[in-house]
Amino acid sequence: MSIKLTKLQKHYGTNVVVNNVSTEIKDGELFVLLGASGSGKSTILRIIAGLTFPDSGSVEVSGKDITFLRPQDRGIGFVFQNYSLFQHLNVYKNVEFGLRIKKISKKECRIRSEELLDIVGLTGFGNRYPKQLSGGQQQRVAVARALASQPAVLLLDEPFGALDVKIRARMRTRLKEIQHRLNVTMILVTHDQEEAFELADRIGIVDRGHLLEVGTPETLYHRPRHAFVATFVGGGNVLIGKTINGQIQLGKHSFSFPTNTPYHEEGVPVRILFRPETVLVSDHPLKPSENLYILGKGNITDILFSGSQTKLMVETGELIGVRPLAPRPTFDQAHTKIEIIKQGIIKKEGLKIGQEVWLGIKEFHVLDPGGIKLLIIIDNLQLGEILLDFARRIVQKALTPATIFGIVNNPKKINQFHEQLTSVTEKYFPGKLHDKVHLTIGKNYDDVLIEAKTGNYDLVLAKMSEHPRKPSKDFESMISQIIDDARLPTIIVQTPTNKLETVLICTTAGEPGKSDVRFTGRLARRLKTSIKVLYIARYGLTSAEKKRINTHLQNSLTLIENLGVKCTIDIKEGNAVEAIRSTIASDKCDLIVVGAPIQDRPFSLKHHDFIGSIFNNINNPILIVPMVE
Amino acid sequence: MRTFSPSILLQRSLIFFYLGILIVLPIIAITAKSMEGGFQELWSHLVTPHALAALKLTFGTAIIMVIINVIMGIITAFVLVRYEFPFKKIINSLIDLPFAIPTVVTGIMLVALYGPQSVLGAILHDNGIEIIYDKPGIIFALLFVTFPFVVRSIQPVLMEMDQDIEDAAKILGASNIATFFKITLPILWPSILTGAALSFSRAIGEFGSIVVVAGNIPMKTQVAAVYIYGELESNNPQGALGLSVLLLMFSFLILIFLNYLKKLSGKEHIV
Amino acid sequence: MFSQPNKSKPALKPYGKYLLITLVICWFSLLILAPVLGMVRELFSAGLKRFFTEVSTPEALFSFLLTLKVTLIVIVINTVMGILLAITLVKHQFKGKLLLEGLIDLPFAVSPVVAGFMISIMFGPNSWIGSWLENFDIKVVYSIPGITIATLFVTLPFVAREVMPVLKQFGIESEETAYILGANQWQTFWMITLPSIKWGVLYGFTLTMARAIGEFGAVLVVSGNIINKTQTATLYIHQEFTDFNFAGAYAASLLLALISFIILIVMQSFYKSNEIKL
Repeated sequence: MSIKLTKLQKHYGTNVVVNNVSTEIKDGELFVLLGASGSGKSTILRIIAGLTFPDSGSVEVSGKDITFLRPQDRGIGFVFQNYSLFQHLNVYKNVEFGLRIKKISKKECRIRSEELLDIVGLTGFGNRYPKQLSGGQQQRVAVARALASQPAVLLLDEPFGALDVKIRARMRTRLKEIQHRLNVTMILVTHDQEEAFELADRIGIVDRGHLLEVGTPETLYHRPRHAFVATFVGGGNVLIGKTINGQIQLGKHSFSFPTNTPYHEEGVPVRILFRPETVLVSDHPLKPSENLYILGKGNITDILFSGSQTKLMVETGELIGVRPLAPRPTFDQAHTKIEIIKQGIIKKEGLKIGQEVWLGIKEFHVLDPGGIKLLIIIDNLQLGEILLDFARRIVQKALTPATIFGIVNNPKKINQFHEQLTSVTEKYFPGKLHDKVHLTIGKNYDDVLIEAKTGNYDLVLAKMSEHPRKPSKDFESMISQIIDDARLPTIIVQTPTNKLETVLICTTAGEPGKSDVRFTGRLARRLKTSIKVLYIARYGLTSAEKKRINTHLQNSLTLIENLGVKCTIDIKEGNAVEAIRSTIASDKCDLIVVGAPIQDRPFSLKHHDFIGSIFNNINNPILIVPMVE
Repeated sequence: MRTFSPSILLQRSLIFFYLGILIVLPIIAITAKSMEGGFQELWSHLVTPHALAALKLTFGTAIIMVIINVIMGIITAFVLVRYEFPFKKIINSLIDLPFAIPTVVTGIMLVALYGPQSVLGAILHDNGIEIIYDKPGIIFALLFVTFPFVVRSIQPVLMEMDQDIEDAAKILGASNIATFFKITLPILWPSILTGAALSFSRAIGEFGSIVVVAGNIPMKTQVAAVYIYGELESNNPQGALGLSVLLLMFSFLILIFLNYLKKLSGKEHIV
Repeated sequence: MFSQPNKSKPALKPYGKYLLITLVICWFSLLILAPVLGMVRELFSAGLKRFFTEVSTPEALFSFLLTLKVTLIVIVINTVMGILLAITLVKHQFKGKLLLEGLIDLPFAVSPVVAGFMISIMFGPNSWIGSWLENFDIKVVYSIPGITIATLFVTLPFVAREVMPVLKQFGIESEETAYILGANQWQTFWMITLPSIKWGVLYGFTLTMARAIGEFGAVLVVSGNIINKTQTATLYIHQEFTDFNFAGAYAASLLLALISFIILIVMQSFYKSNEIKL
């Protein structure tokens, strides 16, 4: 029996748990939903089982719509993580339960349960009670029980999670055998990547409610499309190069795009993935050849022996302009670090820490192009034009997709608003730019929040619709939630802007931020702007503090310059607003960036002293970056 | 293990003294007194027609009450734990009301509601249904005072229960009702029995509310506790002894039963 | 999101659920709400003025005062003893511990009249203790000491029963830590043990209070029901009722019910705090 999921959606308030999930599971297949805890995978399973119902979307089994059928009527089997055996019944009675409900004769039930106990390897255990069984045995009873009524599909919710590692391995093998023997379609949910790889015919990767990618283990490992999947599934190196002259530019080397790569526009970043075992390490310089892509030379920083493998970390300074996505670099890391795995035993005189080596990649894979996806919130057309003008600059320079989200409270005015918004959009995004822009209408700020969470956005643009000193409560709460809850960087535009060439990152007392520098660096790279990093300190710093600040500023400088962005740094003492004002004047800064640290209370424009004072005194557009570290 | 310090000895002696004088000795005293005249004498007082009628009435009404209470208690607990509905919080808090209200006041309230002078009482009287001064009144009073026992015994168990088991049964094909009877109820058994035992023990000893609602009509509305009181008032302690000792024995038996249930479910808290 | 068609409404109607909820609400109204409201109606039909007159007769006032006095003594003694009992039973090991635990529960199971009877036998003028006390001119039966003892008996279990589980869960380790850090027994008790059992004590305390105020059967037997001398509030109500002075009975009942209701609310809030701890 095949199962088809179509646009499944499930919300709890503004929390989107299952987000537009669609896929088809083939008859007789063992399909694994793989994702971190809380990613929504269990909810998807429960929707298929009928233990909960989706807000929208449908579930079909062999063409029949079962979305709202009771679990009793679906003809599926379910194995819970905690087995959920009936403690007051013995093994026979547990397994026979579903059959007895159907009023099948005791004799027939017994025959069937004996069969099943044999299949799961528990012959002779029929008269025992659950508390007399080990975890693995209980789980086998649960499987037998679920299979007793010959269901079309067997659903398993992290079935081996509560078991010891060794038992888990044995159970996996057994499950695969059972599946082949009975040819039952199975959907298994797990967060264990190894388990998924071992069992699955195909895997679906789930992240925050989204079904990101579906493919065989081999496809997902060697040719994923999303960066998330690439790094979630196995170790790997993901480097970000540039598309120059139709080729991939990585440092001073350029390679041609492999066939079947997604289209990349000129100048746009390219993300390439190569697994640690595909890197060639040599103690002498390498010559480029058809099957070898040269990276350059570097030094070994770590060596880790682990049985049949040796893992190396090599740091290279030759990949200028390349930003590593994985392994995730630390803030002060100046150079790219590459993860390498060598099979087999290393010769004794082989490799040493600090040794100079040359690296080449045997094969790599290009991920889907990333981008900075914009969400533009418009609730007032006149003031909205200022926002659209600003947004245009970004879209034009960075060639990124954008969604304009209009809010209109009064349902009667929708059409009118839609028309006006459409014409205004055409005005600001003429010609080719128009393809990048998408229009949606919503009722209120809650709709915006849901869109922000579900739409995979990277940056939000909004305009204060009232006097900046007194933003409206709803607007403020929406911004707070976008920053706190959805954790999206937000630019709030106040007055019209002329240009977008220099960005000012402000940090003040306290722990110097990192997220703001990273994000702004990325943004600046796309927008081709330069950056100034300003640290505003109070009077009377100790020399230790000065040293710490300087180090941070140097690290920021390095990081930004590595991205190919021009950067200057400065420290000023005294009043924050004054310092910022004077810097804006002297360096002609256009966009101001501040970081929003995680606080005990929810973020609020009014209450946050530093950000609040900036809003009150400075008219430039302000970018608030939520700190993720 | 700490050595016996003087304060510990003091604590222990205080406790032994307190419990001794307040509980142990009175029990011994009444047992001793009942044996004074010998077993025959005790027995003769027990088998008088009035005493027997009182016993029959007491146990009869108690059993009827327990059956009703268990059924309604299970349903009430289930509804309170599993469903949401208006006034739920208020109802949940008021379940404990019978615990707080004095028993006499309960009796008075029932008389005010069903007595011959009230509207409701008059209607019922015209239809030949007597509540006050008759058996239904007794059962009402018992239901009121023991209402919380079953509900509060079941509630925590139901709340703690892992609902995955019910889900498993449903997926295997059991209807909601079948799931309840085959899966949920077996888990609730010890707490149901505990609640039942508690209400039963309270019922056979109940006095205040019954003496008001049902009066003291021998052979008709005289329960054991009221009979004992009557004998004491008429200065006939001998008559009272037999029934008292019998009730006391029952109390012990029920306590032992409750203890056994506690061990079965491993729970510490009954009330 | 915005005006999405509501095509996906579940096809099941929870009939069973509505039926059960209605049943419970009806049962609750019939059993609990109706009597309470019935009495409130009685009050208003007689008028508030009447209520105050009835409640302020000298006999009524005396009875309420007596109830108050006895309650005060009982809650103090039984709270202290209850804590002591709980600590001893949870912390210490000794022979007969199980028996002791069972004994604490006994007052729950005994009929109040039987309790009163036992106490009058035990402390009556013919008994060993009774005649000994006569020497000091202390009468137990038919006087206030008797009432106090009877009330102590019936309210004995509450504080102990509520404190024991809390103690079992929280007590031992923190106390051992305190000992190691140098605190003596008394300090440990005040600074570590008592705060951890606070809610259990308070909840048991209110249960004790409610029971003490409402005790009837045992007190009736022991006290002799002498008006203006040994008549508590509950006894007064019963007296008025048997004298067919219904207004008096209702008024006093209402007052007592009100007090109990307030205690109930307080009890609930303590229970919730206790529950959170457990």
